[in-house]
This record gives sequence, structure tokens and C-alpha cells, in this order.
Amino acid sequence: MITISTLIAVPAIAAVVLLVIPFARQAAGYLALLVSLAVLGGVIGFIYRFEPAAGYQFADNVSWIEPLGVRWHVAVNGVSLAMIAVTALVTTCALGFALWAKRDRSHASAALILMTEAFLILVFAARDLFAFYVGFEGMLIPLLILLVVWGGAGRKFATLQVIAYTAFGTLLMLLGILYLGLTAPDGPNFDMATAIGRGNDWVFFAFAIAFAIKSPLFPWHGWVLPAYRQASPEVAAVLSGVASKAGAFAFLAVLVPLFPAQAAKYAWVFIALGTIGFLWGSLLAFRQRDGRGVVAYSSIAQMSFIVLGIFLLSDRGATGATFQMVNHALVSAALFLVVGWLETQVGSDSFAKLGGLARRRPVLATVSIILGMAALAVPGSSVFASEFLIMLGAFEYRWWLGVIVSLGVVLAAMYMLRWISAILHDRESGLAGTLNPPDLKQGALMAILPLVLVLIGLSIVPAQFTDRVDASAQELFSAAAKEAGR
Amino acid sequence: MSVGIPMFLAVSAILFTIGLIGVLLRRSPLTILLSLEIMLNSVNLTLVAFSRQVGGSDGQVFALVVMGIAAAEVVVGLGLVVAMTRRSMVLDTDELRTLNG
Amino acid sequence: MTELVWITLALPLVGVALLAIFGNKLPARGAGLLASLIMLAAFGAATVALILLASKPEDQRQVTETAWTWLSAGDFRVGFDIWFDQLTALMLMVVTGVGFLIHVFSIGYMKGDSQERRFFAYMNMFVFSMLVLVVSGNLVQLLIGWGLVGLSSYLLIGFWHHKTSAVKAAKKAFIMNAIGDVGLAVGIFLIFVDLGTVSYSGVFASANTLSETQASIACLLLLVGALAKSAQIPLHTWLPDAMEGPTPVSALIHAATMVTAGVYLIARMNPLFFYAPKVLDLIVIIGVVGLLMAGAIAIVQTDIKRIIAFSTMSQIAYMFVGVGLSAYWAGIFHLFTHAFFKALLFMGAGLVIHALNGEQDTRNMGGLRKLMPKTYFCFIIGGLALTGIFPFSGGFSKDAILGAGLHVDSTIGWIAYVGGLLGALMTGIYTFRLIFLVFHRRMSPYAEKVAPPLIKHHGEGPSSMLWPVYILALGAAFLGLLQIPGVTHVMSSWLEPISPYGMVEATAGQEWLTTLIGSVVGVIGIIIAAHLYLRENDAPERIRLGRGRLIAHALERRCYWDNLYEWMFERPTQWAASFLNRDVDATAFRWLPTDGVGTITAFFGRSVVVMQNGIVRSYALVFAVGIAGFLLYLLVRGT
Repeated sequence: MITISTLIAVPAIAAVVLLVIPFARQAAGYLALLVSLAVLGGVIGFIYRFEPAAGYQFADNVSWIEPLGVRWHVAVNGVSLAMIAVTALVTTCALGFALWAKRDRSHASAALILMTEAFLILVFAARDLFAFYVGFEGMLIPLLILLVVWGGAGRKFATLQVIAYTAFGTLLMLLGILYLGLTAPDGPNFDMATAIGRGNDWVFFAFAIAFAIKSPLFPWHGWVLPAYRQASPEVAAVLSGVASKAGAFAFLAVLVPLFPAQAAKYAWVFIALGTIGFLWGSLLAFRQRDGRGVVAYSSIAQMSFIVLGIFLLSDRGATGATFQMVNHALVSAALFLVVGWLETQVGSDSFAKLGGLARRRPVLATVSIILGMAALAVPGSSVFASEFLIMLGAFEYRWWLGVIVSLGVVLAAMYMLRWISAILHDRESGLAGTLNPPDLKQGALMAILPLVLVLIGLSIVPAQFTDRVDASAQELFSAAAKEAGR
Repeated sequence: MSVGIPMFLAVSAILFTIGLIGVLLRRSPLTILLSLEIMLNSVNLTLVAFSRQVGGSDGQVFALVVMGIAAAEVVVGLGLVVAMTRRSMVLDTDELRTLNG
Repeated sequence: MTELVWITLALPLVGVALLAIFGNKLPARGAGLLASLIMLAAFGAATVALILLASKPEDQRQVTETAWTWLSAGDFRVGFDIWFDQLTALMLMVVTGVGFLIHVFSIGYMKGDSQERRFFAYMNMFVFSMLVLVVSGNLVQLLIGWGLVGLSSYLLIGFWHHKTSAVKAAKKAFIMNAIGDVGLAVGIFLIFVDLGTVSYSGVFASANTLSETQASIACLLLLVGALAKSAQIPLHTWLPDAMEGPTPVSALIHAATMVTAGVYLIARMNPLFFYAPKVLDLIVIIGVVGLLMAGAIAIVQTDIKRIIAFSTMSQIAYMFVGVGLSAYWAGIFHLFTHAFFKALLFMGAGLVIHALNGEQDTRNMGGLRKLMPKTYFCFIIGGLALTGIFPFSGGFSKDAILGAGLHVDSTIGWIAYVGGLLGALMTGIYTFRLIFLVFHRRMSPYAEKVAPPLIKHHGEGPSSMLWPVYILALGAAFLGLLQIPGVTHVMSSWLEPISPYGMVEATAGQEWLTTLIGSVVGVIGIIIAAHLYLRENDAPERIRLGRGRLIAHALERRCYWDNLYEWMFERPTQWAASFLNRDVDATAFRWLPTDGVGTITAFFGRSVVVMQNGIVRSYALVFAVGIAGFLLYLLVRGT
């Protein structure tokens, strides 16, 4: 029986191999791409065999650190499987882009991306708090190395910011985990199932703040901006596409099930923060003068929106949030890759220097418009479907919340149209005119296309996704919803 | 006893205060050490006085210990003063403040 | 029969796909031909579907079918359905039929443009979106069509994306439509929360369980969406700017189809609106105010397309009045005739613009009557239809609406009646002002220089541009015969079943009376226009600079709506965003938690480190004071 552990082991081993054995430049990149395609294939296999109503599946539960009661317990339900799937896809595209971009020391960069993938899958699949912590913390190590070595001009500062900020949060979480694990009724036990309902308000907030910093949820969003701006495009794609989802996923799959009483009691806090963050991010996205800035703030807005959905503790909210996590991962990763491609061709993503790129570049124009429209949730897109669900959930919670949140969608339209126009429209001034970059094609296009195609597919039949995920999402919030009296 | 305990305590207190003022107001290390000695001796006096009043020899024994420690400490202090003189440093505690923050 | 509807729906989508993938392998004319053929096929399918529907007995003319479930979460289900009834069939004919004619027209109009293929791809995409909207069987799918139509409109208005003004206009249109989308979405939420379903059949069946407040709020929210899409007050400011797009776009989207979606929505949701009579009254008021305001503004416009744009806004206001009076069939009838004569006028304008090499300012036109007789003739027909002169089509449909107002005989009805007639007067004035400015009077120097050689070379236009215009002219002239009061009632009887609670329809006598008054009023308008504009005349200028100064100024600034919105929304948003970005976010959330913590800690450290001065005496003092204090404390406390 193949379990999820395989999906964790394969990229991890491949990463070590790539680091140790000196492959030829391009060979390393291709090998990494091959490995991630294999992982993707594995995930598709799991999806095929997944039974929506059967809870946690493909489990592995062996003893790891005996004296502490730590076990290697990994399993997936609908929500985690969706996240693992999107991780595999985004990693593949990121590796493809890195291959096309010909990074120096490409074997190291590819290995680190694979390592990140392994840790990420561990985060999503972990059913033991210790294993979860290893993944949650561990994913930062390769990401930070990627940031500080291959990043842009301000990368050192960005890395320091990330470390300082997230270290604080994770320390809190560590304390919480230790508390839960060591105070288990029958001797130390870190399994998530035994931790349900045992925590108190302090432990709840310790976890919550750690996840809030990771997502990021307003007002702990300040650290992502230098990171998104300085990271190389594929790392930014992985960061904003998948790593941030680890935070939101943790809210849904760890915090809410393990602390139903507190989740019900303090749900309004997170709903408020989520709403403010959504509006805040959207408003500030409108003021950014560079492509990365717009995508970064859009990301912040969307993550806050997702957390809002999670804490609605309802069907619409949870399924909508899960779907939105997947959609946003795809959109955000693709957007960062497009902006990254622009940077490689033109040398800058500043709006002042771009413009008029739609002429003679139909592929770039089409892809940009599709992504832009998806990002603003044009009705008919999968993003619209997930946002509609969350908005409906918000409306069902309090009607005025639904109205406020819906207005945020208008803001999204404003900043995304501004982004599209800044890149594509008006005269071919600035760098576009002088450098005359070619159209988006070959390697870079191949890296971005899968994301776009999956988005389109999900837009045609979102029910394919929601039907598979609905039951699992339900299980996660049902205890908390009962506490909240719903 | 013609001279009561309070008298001894008073003398001791005065001595202690004199010693304290000396430590706080004088700048030369030698003078500070001297004042410290005065303080220690005043404490010895108190100890012996109380030991006499209460009976038992605990206070007197402790006074002897204090004297021994005072002697040791003076040795170290004077050694420092000699070392400072050898290096022609100013014997002024206000000037010796390189260990500041 | 439903297969035909699916085919009609799918064909434009296939067109888009083909053009997107194989576009650059096709020759330039090929794109236009392909797109037009697809439209023709769609029209054919729609016609056959209509005939099949008509062949069914009257009470079976409502067919629904679901293809697949689009989205579901718990008890919330949205399918990809079609709802095919009399209204849908009629709308399909209008969209595909007029759409086909405009596609053919575009082959000639867009010839020479380097981006022709992209244009036709967008046009087909628009038609697909509009069809999704019209055949939808549930509110969410309607919203999807609604949004996709907005997207297509954005792409088409901003088609010439190197023109900053076009890009701005496209953004403005999209954002105002997005506001409408929000209203519609919140309305859907409310309906789902109250009724538990979003499908039309479910909503219609359970609408009677709503209280009047619930129904009114829901309808009000739906109305917000309708107002945005149909460019009615107060969400109308995007329409005049939308004229930046190519003229065929204006003809298709901003005359015949997209802007009529709001009217369609209200007509379609009439079982719900039945329970919100106050909202219906509001719709009439908005309509009357709109038709008067737009008509007035049209009188002072100088750009040929903008005159027609404001005319469109005014005519749609008429349609709103119609549906607001619960005369749904009349509103839709006017939608139908308007599609013909308005597209006709736009395309005629397109011919004029083409002949003048892109000039759109009427002050640079004039005297084109002799050079472009065919265009002139069609303009006259369109103008007469627009003004509502008997026996042209526009007259019958407009008078059907006004007659309903008369029939209802309430305050609202009389407001509608009088307002509508006043509007007809204005319509006559601005329409024939346009015709006289363009075709009569002396030719402007520019026109004299540019037009004769172009027309000698190409004629008034290639046949691909002329034939659609002729067909539309025929429609504009004769379609009114479908509904001659007291003689034929094809429209009213066809559409009557879509409203389960009945519709308002005037008696034949009231209708003929209205037709008489309406035509007379229209003719008076034409005479006023002739008096002022037929020959060179400085009377208009004198009025504009003299007694009519204030009004003229207000009208030329389009009644200050744009200024209002800029002050109320654009500037505050920009300011808030800048303020939050620069001052709040940058400091509180970006600097504070990282740099800030370090700086603050260092600050406190520096303040405290003063105590560590390295002087032994001061340390000793601190000891002494501390111990003394402690001893004092013990003393005071008593041990």
C-alpha cells in the first residue's frame, strides 16, 4: 500500500541526491523536473483512488521518538489532498521556470525547491503535532536559503525580516505543541487526534498567532512584502502560492478541529481581522507601482479572505475557503511567474517603465488578461465560484458582512485592471519600446500554461472539486460549529 | 555593666556611618579601603556586643571570621593599589571608569 | 429542441476557440467571414428553436434542462441550465440576428485594422456571454453571463489599447459594471437565504412566501445590477465614454444587446418583482428621469456617436418605464424594435465616419445628403422610428409603453405618460438635429476635402457594410406591424405567458390616442429641430451663450454626474489607499514589527545604560540607598 510517505520521501531523497552528486548543469534541472512530475503523477493517482466520504486515508502511523510519544503519523483527507495536489503542480511549474531561467548552481536551487516540496507535503499530511512542526518549520529552511542566495538586491534584509517575524510565531507554536503533547492523559502523546479539545485559550492563541503570521493574516502581513519582492520568481511563486497556504490550511485543519470551543468563541476576532485584511490589502494593492507589489498585496488580501471563510464555521465558508486556497495558489503562482518573466525580459517590473506590451505579443496579452480576470474573480471563473461561496457564507453569518466583503471585489477589479493596463496598454513607452522583448513562449510559457489550464478546467466544472472536498471540510469544522450553536 | 548595650550599638552605628560616608565621598582607593575597614570593624563591635548580651560565643566567632575576611580583602585591594601605582595610573576611582556601558 | 439551444449557445464559443487557436493562420478577411458564418448558423438554430417552441401549445412553452452541476456546497447547488421560453426565444433571435448583421458590417468596417482577428474573437465571445445570460435558468448562471458580458465589453471598448482614452473608458465601464455585479450578487445571497434556491423555477414557485420588505430589498439589489448594465441613473456614466470602442461595438453592445440586459432581467424576474410594487414604481421614476435627462444632454452633444449613445440611454429608460409599469411585453417589444433602429443609426454613423476617414465631430460634417444618399435614407428611416412617428416600428413600441401608463391611470402612470411624451419631443429634436447637422447645411471644410475622393473611390461603403444596414432599415420600418393596436397582437400574446401574474396592456382606443399624440409631439420636435438646425443659423449659439447658459453648461458637463462620482468615490479611495499605504501600513505593519522592535529596544537600552557609568562610588551609593530603603521598609512594616 503506497502511502503519503512516499510523496514526502521521493522529493526529499531526490533533493539530497542533487545536492551531493555533481550533475551537469541542465541535467540537474531536468532531473528535478522529472522527479516533481513523478510526484504530480503520484498525487493524481491518489486523487483517483480517494473516497470523499471516508475521512483520512492513505495513512502511515509508526512510532518515531518512543520516549516522547512522537509518531510518524501522516494521512490525507479531501482538503489536505487538494493542497498536496496544488503543491505538486506549483513546484513542477516553478522548477520548469527555474530550468528555463538558467539559474547558476541550478542543482542546488532545484534541490532546495524539491526539499521545500517535501516539507510542504509533510505539513499538509501530518497527523502528529511533532511531524507537523517539523514540516512547518522545516519548509522555511530551504526557502530562506533560496531567498538569500538567489534573491534580488534587498535579499539579505528580506531574509532577516522573514526569520525574525516567523521565528517569533513558531516559538509560540512550539510552546503550545509541547504543552499539548506532554500533558496528554496517557503519557506523552503528540497525535492530533488525542489533542482535540484539551487546549486552553493561551494555547489556542499561541497556535493562532503562529498560523496568522504564516498565512499572513492582517495585521501580521508586513514580512511578506520584502520576501515577495526580492525572491526569484519561482521562489516567490512557491512562497505565495503554497507556503502561505500552509498557514491557512493550518487554521482549517489543525486549529479549528483541535480547539473547537475556542474557535467558536473567538471566531469573530478572525472574521474581523480577515475582513479588514481583505479590504486593506485590496486598497493598498491599488497604490503599488510595481507588478510584484500588486500581486503581493493581492495575495495578502486573498489570504485574509480565506481565513475569513474558514472562521465562518459553515459549509459555504469551509468549502469556499479550501477551493479559494487552491485557486489562489494557481493564480498567484502564475502571476509571479508572468511578472518574473517580464523582469527577465525587460529588467524591471515598475509600472513607470512598462506599458504597451500587448502589441505583437498576443500570448502574453492573452495569458495576462486570463490571469488578471481570474484574480479579480470574473463571474464564471473558479475564483468567482470560491469567492461566491465565501461571500454567501459571510452573508449568511451577518448580512452586512456579506455586503462589505462584496464591495472588496470591486476593489479587486480596480487594482487588477490597473495591473493589466500598466503592462499591456497605452503606448509602447519605456523599456518595452527600447528593448522590444519577444512574446511569451517556449520554456516560460510551458511553465505557466499548466496553471492556466487547470484554472480554466476548474472554472468549467468547479463541482468536480467541491464535491470531493465538501465532506472532509465538513468534518473539520463540525465540532466548532456545534460549539457555536449552528 | 556601667555602659549598656545601647551605648555599644550607638558607637557601632556612628562608626558604620562614618565608614559609609567615607566610602561614598572619597575618591582615593586607599581611603575607600580604609573606610571599608571602619565599616567592618563597626559590625564586629555590634556582633561582640550582642554576643555578650545574649550569651554564647556565636557572635564572637563570627567577628573573628569577619576579621579574617577583611584582612584578605585588604590584601587584594592594596595589591590593586600597588599595581596601579606601578603603572603610574591616577589613584582616583572617578577616573577609572572604562567598564561603563 | 433544447439541443438547438445548446448549439446556439456553443457556436460562438467554438468561434472564439477557432479564432484564438488558428487565428493567425487565417487570412484577414477569413476571420470576419468565419465569425459571421458562425453567427448565421447560430441565428438559424435560434430561429428553428423558436419555430419549434411556437408549434407547442401555449401552456407548454417553458422548457428547462440542466447540463451539469456547476457548483455545490451543502444545500447550495448551481447547475449549468437553460430555460427556454418565449422571452428567451425572442432574445436569442435579437442577439444572434442583429449580431449577425453587425458581424457582417464589421467585415467592411474593420478592414485594414491589423487586429481584425482579435476583434472577431472578442465579438464572438461577447455573443457567447450574452447568450449564457439570456438562456440561464438560475440566478448564478445569470450572474456569470452578466460578468462575462462585462468582460467582453471591457475588451471591446478598449480594443484600440494604445489609445489611453479607450483604455480609461474600458476600465470605467468594467468597474461600474462590477458595482452592479455586487448588487446582483448580494441580491442572490438574500434570495438564497430567504428562499433556499437560486434556480428560476424554485424562486418563482416560492416567491409568494416573501414579505414585501424581503421582496423589495431583493428586487432593489437586482435593480442595482440592472441599472449598471443598462446604463441608467445613477450608474450610467460609463456609457458615453464607451463610445471609444469601434462603431460596430457600439452598435452591438451599447444599443442592441448588453445594455438591454437590465430590461431582460426585470422582465425575466417579474414573478419576484410582482411582490415589490414600490420597487416597480421606483423603476418607473428612474426611467422617466433618465429619459428626460439623457434626451436633454443629447441635444447639446457634438460627437455623432455620443448623441446616439445618450439616445440609447434615453430609450432604455423607456423600456424601464415599460417594465416598471408591469407592461413587460411592451418593454421587450421596444427592446426588440430599438435593437433594429438603434443599430441602424449606429451603423449609419459608422458609414459616415468611414467616409470621413474617422471624423466623429458633427461640427466637421454637413451637407452629406448628396454624397451619401443611401445612408441618408436609412438615417431618415431610423430617425423616424426613433422619434416614434407612425407607422414606423419605434412608434408602436414606445406608444405601447406610454399607453400602458395611460391605462394604469395612477400617479405613476401619468408621470410615465407625460414624461414619455415630453421625452418624445426631445427625441425628435436631438434626432433630427443630428440628421440636419450631418446631412444638411453646408459641408464643413474638412468634409469637403476628405469625403468626395473617398466616396468616389469606394462608394458609400462596401456591400458588406450596406446590406446589413438595408435589412435593419426594413426592420425599423415594418416591425411595428407586429403589434398594431386592435389589429395584430403578435408581441403581446407571445410574451404574455411569461408573466404568471398578468401584464398591463392598454386598450386599442388608448393606444391609438397615444399614437396620435406621440406622433404629433414627435413631429413638433422635428419642426423645432428644423427651425434651429436645418439651415445655417446662429439661434442655437445665441441660446447657448445667452439665456440658456446655465442649462447648456450643465448639459454639456452631462449634468455633473462624472464630477460627483469623482469627488465621492475616486478621490477618497485614492487618498485612503495612499494614506494607508504610505503612512499606516509602511510604519505600523512593515517597519514596526521588524525594524521597529529593534529600534525601540535599542532606545530603551540606551536610556537605561546611562546608569552604568563605571564609577564605583555611584554603584556603592545605589547599594546604600537600596539597603537603607529596604531596612526602612522592614521597620515601617513592623516585622
